[in-house]
Amino acid sequence: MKLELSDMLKAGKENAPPPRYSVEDAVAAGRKRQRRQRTMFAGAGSAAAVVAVAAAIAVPQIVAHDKPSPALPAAASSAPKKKSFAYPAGDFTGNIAAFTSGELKITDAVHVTPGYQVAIVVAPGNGTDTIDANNKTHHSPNDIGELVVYRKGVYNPKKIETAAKVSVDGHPAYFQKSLPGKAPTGLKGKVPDSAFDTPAILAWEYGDNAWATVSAAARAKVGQQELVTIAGKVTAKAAVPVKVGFKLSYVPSGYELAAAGPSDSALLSPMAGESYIRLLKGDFPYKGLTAPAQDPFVVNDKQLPLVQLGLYPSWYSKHSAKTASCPDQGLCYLNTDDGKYVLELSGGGFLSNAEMIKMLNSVTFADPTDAGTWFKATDAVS
Amino acid sequence: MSDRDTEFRDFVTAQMEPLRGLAYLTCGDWQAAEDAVLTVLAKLYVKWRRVDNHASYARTAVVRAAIDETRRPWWRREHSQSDAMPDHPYPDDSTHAVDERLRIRDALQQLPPRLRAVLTLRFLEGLSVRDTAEALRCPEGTVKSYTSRGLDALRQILGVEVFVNKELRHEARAV
Repeated sequence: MKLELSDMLKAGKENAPPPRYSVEDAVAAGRKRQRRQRTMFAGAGSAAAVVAVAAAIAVPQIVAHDKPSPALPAAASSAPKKKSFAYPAGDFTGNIAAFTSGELKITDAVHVTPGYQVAIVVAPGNGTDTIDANNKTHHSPNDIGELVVYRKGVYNPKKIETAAKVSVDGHPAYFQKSLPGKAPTGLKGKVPDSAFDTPAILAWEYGDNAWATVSAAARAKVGQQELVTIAGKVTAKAAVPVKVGFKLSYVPSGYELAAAGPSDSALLSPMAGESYIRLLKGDFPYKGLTAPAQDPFVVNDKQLPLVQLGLYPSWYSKHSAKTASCPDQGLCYLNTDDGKYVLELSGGGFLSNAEMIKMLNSVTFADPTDAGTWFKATDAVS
Repeated sequence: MSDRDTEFRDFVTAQMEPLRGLAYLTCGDWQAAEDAVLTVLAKLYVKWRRVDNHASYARTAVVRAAIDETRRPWWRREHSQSDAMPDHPYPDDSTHAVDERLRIRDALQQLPPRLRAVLTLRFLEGLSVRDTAEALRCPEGTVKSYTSRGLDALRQILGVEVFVNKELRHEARAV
């Protein structure tokens, strides 16, 4: 039997359900988007003026570091009434201190890039369940949002300046309330509606042109005051290099460390033993962000080649590989010696399988269960 | 009604259905595909006068948006046990044609989104290697490699010979 590919592709999209959107829906969506943009641009000037006034009277609670600046001593803030937060000078060091706020727990920094560090906001109870190949259910922490502290100059507040103006200990801040989402019909019963929520988000300027945000999913019903309280409790601990549970002695030419930590790009509470590295080929400018950067990393209209490595408990992956292998297109795997963890390498379409196998064959694992054995991320890819 | 609105309506009338199919083949979910298309069309409306080739812009943006749909955290976590996700239950009284269509659709769904996007852009939309690379912002070598691997993967999954039409055969063999 023979099949012609273009006929196959046509067959693949046959039997489509009736469209949900009409031509007029597209026109209405376009007009709405245009109105929103006009409103945003019109509001930006006045909001900026308010920010400037508020910043002048604010008591700095956390101190931003511009990337090229040398490390400032914590006492550099003019008249700190609270313990200062100095953004670490090093690219791959995190220093968000874990804390609790009511029933919510905020983790240490679990995902660090040269432009920002991320901690996870966790509520009581279990989050999404994952059923493994042996029908065993694994509970995930009840992640409800993220705390993201951006380095000075990285976050662009223009987008959120259309939201409600509030204050965090005298610092300019904006609050955008959450909006409930709805799962597409094809995913009803498989994915909760809450997965499509627009989260509530609070952004505040913790230092001159340095911002942080904290978000919470609509299902968590966390309001403005709770987010303001969380923001007021953010403090720094001593900066520590971010570590991962594996290292490579071979990395393809030009690829450099772009993110690392116990949590991968999904920015969820890390599972026990999980760790992650992102490599990019080319410089990604950490400026003008309105949220943590996500694939694709586009610079000057070109996508930067991206490679990601994640070490996960074996139950989380359907793949097992005693020796490095690539059963899926662009995805290769290697188990730890005891088979309890699996390293997933995603080539993003930029590396051949042979190159990815070469990378995996150069891997040394730490003990995923003992963070004391983990490698500094900066050493893991050198 | 403005000229822009008239032109935009004509464009959407002609292109919405093909774009919907393109997005579906890329992300494997009709609703996510439609959302991706509507988002792209709304963006296109705003920059209508600044875009030279509306069809090319929409096609490229729709594929990217559909790939993005598959990258959402919930997608990864919820799909950890199964990559295939048919939208509709299989009918009990399947004719051979329906069976075949579902089998083909499942085979396509087993391919990673970017690889599916390459095959779709090249062999359904008829884009060249260079245009596909431009649309997906990836090297031409990646497009060639994905084309070859995609064909191999479909042959393996379906257990049949998969070929490309005469006009594209030479280019496919050259990958």
